[in-house]
Amino acid sequence: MIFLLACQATELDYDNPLDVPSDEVPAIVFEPSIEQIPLLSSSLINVFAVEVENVTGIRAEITYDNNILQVSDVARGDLFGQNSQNSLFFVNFQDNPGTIVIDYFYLGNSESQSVSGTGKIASILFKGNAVGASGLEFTSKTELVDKDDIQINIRSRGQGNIDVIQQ
Amino acid sequence: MINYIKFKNTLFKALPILFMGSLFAQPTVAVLDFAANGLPDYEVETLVERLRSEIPNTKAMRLVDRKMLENILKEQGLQQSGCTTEECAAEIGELLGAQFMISGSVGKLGSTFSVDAKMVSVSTGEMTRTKSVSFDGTVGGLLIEMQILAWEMMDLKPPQPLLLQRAGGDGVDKKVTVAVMDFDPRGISMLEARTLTDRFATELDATGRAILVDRRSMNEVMQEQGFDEAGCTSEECAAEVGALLGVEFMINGAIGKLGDTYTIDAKMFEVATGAASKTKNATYTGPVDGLITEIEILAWEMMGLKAPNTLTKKRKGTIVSETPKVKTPGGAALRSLLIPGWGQHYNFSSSENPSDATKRWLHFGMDAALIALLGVSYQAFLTSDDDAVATHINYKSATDTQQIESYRTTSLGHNEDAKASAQQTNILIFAVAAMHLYSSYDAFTNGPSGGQASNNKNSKFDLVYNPNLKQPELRFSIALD
Repeated sequence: MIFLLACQATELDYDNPLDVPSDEVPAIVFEPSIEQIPLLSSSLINVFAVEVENVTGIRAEITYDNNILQVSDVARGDLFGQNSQNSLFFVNFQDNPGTIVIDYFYLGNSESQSVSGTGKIASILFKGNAVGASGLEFTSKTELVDKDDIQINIRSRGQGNIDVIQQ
Repeated sequence: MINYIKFKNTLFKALPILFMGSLFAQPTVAVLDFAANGLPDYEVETLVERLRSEIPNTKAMRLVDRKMLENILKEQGLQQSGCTTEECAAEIGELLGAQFMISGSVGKLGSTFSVDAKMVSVSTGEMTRTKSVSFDGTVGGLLIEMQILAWEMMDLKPPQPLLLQRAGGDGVDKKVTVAVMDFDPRGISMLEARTLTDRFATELDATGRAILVDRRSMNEVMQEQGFDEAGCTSEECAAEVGALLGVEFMINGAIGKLGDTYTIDAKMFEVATGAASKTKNATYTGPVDGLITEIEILAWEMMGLKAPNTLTKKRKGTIVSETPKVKTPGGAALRSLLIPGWGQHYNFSSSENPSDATKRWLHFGMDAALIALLGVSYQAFLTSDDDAVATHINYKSATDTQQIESYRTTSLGHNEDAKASAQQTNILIFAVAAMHLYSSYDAFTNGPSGGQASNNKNSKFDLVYNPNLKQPELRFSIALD
């Protein structure tokens, strides 16, 4: 009875994907990084650029298991502001072989038209078509560029996982 | 025929006895081994040895040493059991310098034992006394019969304890030997108390479960030992008297009067241990004659029997009869396990021991303080843990890095506080538990003992009064039933 009465603090996981250690930024991550959805349901996964500096362009190439997931929609993020006239946003996703390519650029090359900090690049809506787990990964072609079109080193590329379960 | 040389040697050996015999006026007696008919020799030897050992207790005759008897018989080339005639016994008795010789036989027929003993006068060669005993039971029961036979062969009345032991038997519905002390009068006259005690004793006898020592025998023993019954109210005194009477149980008690209400308290305790075996009390309000019925009913209840309907129908007035719950160390321990100090209070209410009075509050106070601290600590734990979880939810949902860091720092802080409080709470839980266990242990070790715990059939140590040694003794007992 005494042992049953003994109390214990709740174990908490500090695993917010946007909570990237300072020595691993700039980073590009999925948020949430782990999802579990019923079969034929959808999950919205955000793609974030974390603690970037003077970024004017992004190419994010994401792979997923097309046997399990299907991309329903991809929406622009607010990294380069809410006004869509200031930026270009192109998405090319192919369920075979399961790749999404997002190109997101600031228009112009002035100093004021670069972005620093953390912001959402895009929101991707996945649909679970089959039971199983699919990883989400940024390929090596994912890159950030500054106003001079020079690549910015991405120190950390986050990974994601969507687990589709039988209802 | 006995030859002369043997006779001379024997005479020299018997000289010390003859010399001793001249010093004391008591006649001497020698007991030959009895002939065994239908049971082993060793059993008969044991029985005769019991007869021999009882003879000195009679103080009527002196017993010739068995070794001496054996030596003389050996030298004369005789077997004890072979010397069955009066003439042989007389001759040997003459050699031993004994005035009397006892011989006899022990036989078994079915489940009945028979003992025949005869005493021969050495000087005349005549039989002076014969006794026969028939006994149904085990051979062990014959031991008492042999002791009684020793007294009867001396033409003396066997002592009461022996007769009571004989009456006790060894059957399934064993009767117990009981002596009833006069109930202590409180608010009534001594004469009334004696009358009611007599009625109680009579009814006790009527239950058929008790063998009572009559008042006269008890008074004789008490007077011989210099006891005054009125002054013998303590259990120790009663136990001593009981030991002298040879009874297993003593009953004493008190009859009180408060206004129109009568109270009867009776206690039966074991003489051997001094421990109370049964306590009964009754409170009665009504006419005086109804009290007699209550006393009679109490007698049945004391023997663990239901009073007959004829008695219960006679009941008058209002009766509050109860058997006080026997206080046990286990009961004290259980109480203190639940609430520290309760067991000490329970002990105090029975022992009036001042240390129990102090301890009950000390234990209760310490437990209350620990529980209060535990409550505070637990509340702090709940608050910190709730805060940590709430902040953690914000942390998980935040997308702003500064907010994330802020939430993480705050949540971690609360989480650390919660862990510290949880640890403190756990220590206090164990402290409270330890307090309960210690208090329980303390209540058990200082719990009611002796009479209050005597009904417990578990193995136990008891500090009991030994009336034979006239001092307390520590006794370990195991109930074998």
